[in-house]
Amino acid sequence: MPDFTFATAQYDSGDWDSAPMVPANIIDSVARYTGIDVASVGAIVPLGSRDLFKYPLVYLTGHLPVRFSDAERSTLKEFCARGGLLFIDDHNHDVDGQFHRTAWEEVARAVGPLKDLPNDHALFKAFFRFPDGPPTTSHELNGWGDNLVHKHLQAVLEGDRIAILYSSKDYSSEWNYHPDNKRFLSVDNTKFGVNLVVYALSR
Amino acid sequence: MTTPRERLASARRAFGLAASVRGVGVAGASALAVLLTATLVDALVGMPMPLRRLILPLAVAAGGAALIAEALRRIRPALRASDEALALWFEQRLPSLRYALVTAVDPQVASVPPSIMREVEETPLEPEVRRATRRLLLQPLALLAVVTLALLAAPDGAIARVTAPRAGDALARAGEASRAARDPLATIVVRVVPPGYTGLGATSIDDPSSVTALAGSRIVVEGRGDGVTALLESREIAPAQRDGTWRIAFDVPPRAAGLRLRGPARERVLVVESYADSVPVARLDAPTRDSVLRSARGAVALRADLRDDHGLADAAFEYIVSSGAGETYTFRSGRVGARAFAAGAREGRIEGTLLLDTLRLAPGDLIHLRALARDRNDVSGPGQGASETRTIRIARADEYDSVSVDPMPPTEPEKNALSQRMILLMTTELRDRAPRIGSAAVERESRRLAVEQTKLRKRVGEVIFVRLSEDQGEHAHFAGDGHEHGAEKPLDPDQVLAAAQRAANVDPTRQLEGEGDETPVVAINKPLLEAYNHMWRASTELETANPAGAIPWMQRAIEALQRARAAERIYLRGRPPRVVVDLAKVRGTGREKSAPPAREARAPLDADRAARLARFDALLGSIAADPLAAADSLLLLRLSLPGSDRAAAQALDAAADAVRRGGDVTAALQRARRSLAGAPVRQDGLSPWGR
Amino acid sequence: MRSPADRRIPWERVARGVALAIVALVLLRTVLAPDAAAVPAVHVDATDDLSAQARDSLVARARAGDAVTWSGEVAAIATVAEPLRDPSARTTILAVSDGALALGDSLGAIDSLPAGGGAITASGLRGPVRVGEGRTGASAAAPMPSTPGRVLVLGRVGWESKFTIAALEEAGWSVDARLRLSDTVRLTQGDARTQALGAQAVVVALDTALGAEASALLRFVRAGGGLVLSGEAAGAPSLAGVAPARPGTRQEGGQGAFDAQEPLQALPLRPLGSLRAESVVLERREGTITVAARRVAAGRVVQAGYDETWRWRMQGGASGARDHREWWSHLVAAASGAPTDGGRGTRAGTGALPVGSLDGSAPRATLVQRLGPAVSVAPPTPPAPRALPAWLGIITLILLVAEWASRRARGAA
Repeated sequence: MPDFTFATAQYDSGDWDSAPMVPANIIDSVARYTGIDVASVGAIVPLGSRDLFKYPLVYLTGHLPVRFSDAERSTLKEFCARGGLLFIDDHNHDVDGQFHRTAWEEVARAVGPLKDLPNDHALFKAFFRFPDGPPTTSHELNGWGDNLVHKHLQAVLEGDRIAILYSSKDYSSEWNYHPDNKRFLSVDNTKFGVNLVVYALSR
Repeated sequence: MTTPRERLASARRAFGLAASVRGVGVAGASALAVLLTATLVDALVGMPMPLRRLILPLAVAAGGAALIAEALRRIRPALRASDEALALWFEQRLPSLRYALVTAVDPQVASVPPSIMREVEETPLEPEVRRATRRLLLQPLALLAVVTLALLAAPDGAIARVTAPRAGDALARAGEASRAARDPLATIVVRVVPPGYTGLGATSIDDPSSVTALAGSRIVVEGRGDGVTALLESREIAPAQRDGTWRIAFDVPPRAAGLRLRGPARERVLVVESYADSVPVARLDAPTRDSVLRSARGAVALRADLRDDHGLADAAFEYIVSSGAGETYTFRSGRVGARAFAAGAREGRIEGTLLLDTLRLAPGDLIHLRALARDRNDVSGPGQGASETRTIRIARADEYDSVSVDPMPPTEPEKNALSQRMILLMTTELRDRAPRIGSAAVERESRRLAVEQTKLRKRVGEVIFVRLSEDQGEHAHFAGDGHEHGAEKPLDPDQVLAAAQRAANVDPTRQLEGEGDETPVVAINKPLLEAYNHMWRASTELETANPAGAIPWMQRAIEALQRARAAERIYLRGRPPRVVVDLAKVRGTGREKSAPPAREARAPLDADRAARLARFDALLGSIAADPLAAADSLLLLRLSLPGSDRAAAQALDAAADAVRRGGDVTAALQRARRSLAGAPVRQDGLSPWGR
Repeated sequence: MRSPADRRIPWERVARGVALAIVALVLLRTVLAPDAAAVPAVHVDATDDLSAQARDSLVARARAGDAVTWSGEVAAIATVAEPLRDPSARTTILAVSDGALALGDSLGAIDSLPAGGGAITASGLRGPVRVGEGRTGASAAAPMPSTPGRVLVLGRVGWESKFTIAALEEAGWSVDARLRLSDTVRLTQGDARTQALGAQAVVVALDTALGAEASALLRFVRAGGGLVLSGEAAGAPSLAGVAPARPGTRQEGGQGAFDAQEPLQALPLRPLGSLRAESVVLERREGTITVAARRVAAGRVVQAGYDETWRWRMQGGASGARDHREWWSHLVAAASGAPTDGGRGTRAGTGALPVGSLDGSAPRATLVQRLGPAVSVAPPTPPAPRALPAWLGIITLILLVAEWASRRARGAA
């Protein structure tokens, strides 16, 4: 069984599969840059099921309001306490949007309040170095969403470890293309995804 | 002219009255003596509250007993004394009568000679009556006066401590002033005033080691004497001094903190801790489940139950309507069914109606519905609680043949998984007990479990049967089912199951893959079928009294039920495209290299545990020499605990209290040690490898 | 004709003779009585727990030449308290006895052990630990907690290495790591000095790709280091020479076993077979060997057949994370050697006894060692000379007074 399988969280209140190519793209990058034994296909895991614990790194995105059920909330709390990391990306990249508002509220209810992650955090040098913090995406200023460049990611820490990582930078749009098309890019924009995976696998 | 009998009757009344007054006096003196004694004992040794609560009933009982005794011994004989007896009593005390009075009232003497009558009339009886009455009343009334004066001389509140004991009266104990002159921290009283929005009254605690109060409460610490200063964490609090009493008031801190009280003679620590007001709990009773509607018409009934620990303020239903697709989503939100609650309402209900026609919904739109409730917390709140969210979606026209247009199915798999887990636990327990209870008992219990297992299997079978029958009725499809449409005889459950198994087309004892392009109907029913088959194998093993053999099948059944349960959820989209990355092709092709920095070590879970144990060990040595200092050390140790370790905090509080009280503190210290060090781990038998 | 006074003369002689005979008898008994004090014999009934001072006193008398014997029901108990070789600052009290044992320290009872003995692991012990059966008790000093050495984890970046390191660090171990991230990139923890094998007490190997490190590891173990082989490393060919057993083919864990609160059943396993003669089985799963250990020269090797133990932490029951942590800490402790320091010291201020002393740790053994085996019957002691009855003295006195009065009455001197 591979050491690492990229998992996408399935939740019932929103469009959880709004960025279907992200998993393949991250898997591709992990294989390109590292020797991590990664599964060639991503997994989909219901947020409220016990299967969540099979995947200590889980990706969650969407545009619509996020409302966790009681089961999802308690499972997520336990997931974080045991050592899991949930990466939430706002596909709207809109801090006034319903995804942002409801996701923050639900994370606060389930695990704790999100706070700015310093841009010199270990996450930004876990594999590649991002001295200025989270890399900017081409979608942040694309006219949709809040049209802001978001300086920080937010996180809920368990001790000194990230348990929930929240992004308003819309990596879901940035990474949502077929990995074969990566060859057309002069700079690989999924490198931060490798950092995320290496961080989750080592911290 | 009064006859001798009338004179004796008058004397009898006087004696009866005097005896009655004496009885009341004796009773009062007895009751007051009990109170006086208790006050003195309390002043000397300080009686605990339960004992003080007994004093007043005891005093009343003593008074009552004394009154009954007096009634039997004096009042009743005085009132019932016969003329002859009274005459003899007077003759005894007035020899000059020379039996004239006895003769005058003797019923056997038909006519009393006038000389005798004259002699009786000439002899005054009243002085004797007065003398006797005085003797009767003097002693008890004097005693009553003495006891009353003694009680009146007692300090304010000292008597109330025994007559009407209440929490917080420790400072009123007799002799407290002189004790406080030596040590103003000898006794303290803590008053907790909860925040106004709770509507709760203040409570007092006598001489506590720790106090827990609702966040936002005001804490007032009082003691007799003067010269006390206070430090809460690093903040100094000036005490107010009035009428020989010092008083320190502060708001309860958000985290557990130690209030260090410093007196002329010593220090004392009081642990103060707050607890948060819980947010309201909201339960959405209607709608009961998520739904997908064919059209946005009609009304949705809304109903929610609400609860709060200190009182609800208001509540409403909140809805968010999401419209759009891709990057162009718009959102609208609103509230319906809002209601405000009267002060003190801890439970409530809101009801409302969501008119879909007025929401201008389009196909594909989503409504998120939930109930929101706020409490009256004006200190750290208001606390807001929310119910689970229900999602209502307006289906698109091209979705009508999908299962997602049906309401969310009931959660039988969830219930069945729970039941199966219970049977599994019982079977595991039976397997573990088997060597001890003998084969006959194992067989008996195993068969009993087999019956339960069979019942559960039938229930799952019925679920599958109902669903597959419904699918037939609605002409629903599932991949590869081979089902032919048309007028057919309804299948019985076994036939349905057999058909479904053929449809699954795999070994029923193996896990069925839920992947691929199957419809949700198959995704739900396939795992149920698997569970059904695994249950059959489990019950067979149980029938043959082999609980160990049944366990793996039960585990597989649970796993299959869980997959069925997951498959029952309605998600808003189908499965995303399945992209397989050619790892061999891309492996190591990344052009950019990296040199990750060294990983930083994770901190131990409780790095201070060993230090706490050492502190506990060290303070044990000081208990005998200075118990009050040791109690303070225990409280400071308790403050160093992680906030989550409630059990250890309580054990240390109890140990500090026990040490402060004195006596045998072994049990309390043992509990404290165990809470700090953890329960010992026992291993029977010795390992050849050592530890 | 003899006067009456003269007739008393024979009686006077008889009286004098009888008195002298009685005095002679007393003297004779005194002279001829056996010298009981010459070789004093001491016999004690040790049924009631003898204090260490009492035992020392008896040993001293025996060495001084006294005949010291003992008898009585003294339970055969032995106990020893050792610091656990992990960072938990706990102590393991090992005790053996034929009967059930109660354990306690100066603060009171701790726990009990069934007949046959066992081990209690506890922390916060105060003063000597007493282990008692009936009226007999053994005691052992509570030792200072040990200071565990460093642990080096070798493997590749993945969930297993992450959660193994996390478990050990959370348990308080000082961990260094070298994790393979790609063929050329290593993720490390600790600096070169601490990562050197010489600085480590235990190495945890999780990966087969050890390369040149394998031979260094073998030298490390033979020199006294501890090695834990888990996951794929359990079957690493380069370390097969020191492994306690040979792992078989991987078996998947039982489905649903996490739900059934049997987490170890749920983990994939390479059953350990072909156990070496000197290997010791530490853990089994339904008859299959899962963890084994052996000593290699001065070092220790622990081999665990489990794979993907991180699933225990993530998927195990409510105590999964804690159990996983303790299991790993225990595994590393089992591979580590003697405590690096402090393990033999005494605890200041607690009145502890030196750990190495046998006094009190095995009372029956101590008695047998010092005083010889118990005697079933107390040895006969020489009868003490019986005291003469008091009336003989009175008679003697009367006789002498009568004889003297008779003589004086007849005018003799």
